[in-house]
Amino acid sequence: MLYNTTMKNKYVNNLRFGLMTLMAVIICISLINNNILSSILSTILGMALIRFLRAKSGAELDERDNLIREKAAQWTLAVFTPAIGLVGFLVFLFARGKLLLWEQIGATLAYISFFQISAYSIFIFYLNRKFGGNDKE
Amino acid sequence: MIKNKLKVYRAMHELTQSQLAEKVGITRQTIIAIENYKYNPSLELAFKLARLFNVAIEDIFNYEDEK
Repeated sequence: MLYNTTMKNKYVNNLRFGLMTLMAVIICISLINNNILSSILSTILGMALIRFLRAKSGAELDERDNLIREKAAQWTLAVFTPAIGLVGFLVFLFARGKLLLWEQIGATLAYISFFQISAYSIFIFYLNRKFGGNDKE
Repeated sequence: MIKNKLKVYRAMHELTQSQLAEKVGITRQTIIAIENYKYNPSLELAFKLARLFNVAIEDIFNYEDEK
C-alpha cells in the first residue's frame, strides 16, 4: 500500500516510454513508405492508449509534476512558435514566385505559427479570468 | 528563498520519504525536491504538511531574504 503510488508511476512511465518508442518506429516506417494515414492513426491510437493507461492505473501527477509539464510546454511554445514563424516567412520570401511547393510550405508554417500565437492569447485571456484579477474593487 | 525543516520533522516522526509522500498525496520526488530547497510547495501542501506534523507552517517553512 505504501509503495503503490511509486510503483504505479514507475509502471506507467515504463509503459508510456515503450508505447512512445513503438509509435515513433511506426511513424518512421509509415513516412518512409509514404503512408501518412497509418502514421496519423498510430499517433492518435498511441496517445489515446497512454491516456487510458494512466487513467486506469490510478497513477497521479502531483503539483510538482504539473508545474514541470507546464514549464516544459511554455518553453516549447516560446522556442518553436517564433522559430516556425521565422522559418516559414523566410521560406515563403525566398521561394515566392519561383518554387510553388516551397512557397506553400512557407505559408503553411507561417499560418501554424499564427495559430499557435492566437491559441496562446485565447488561453491567457481565459486563464486570467478564471484565476481572478479582473474584478473591480 | 524559502527554507524548511521538513527533514527534521520527518525524522522526528520516523517517516521515510515514501511514507510521508503517501500521507500527503504527493510523490517521493517532490519530498526530495522540497527537502533540497529545489521546490517550494503550494500553500495547500504546506498546510497539509504542517497539519500532519501538528505544528504551525512557520515552524516548518521560513522565508529568508536573498542577499
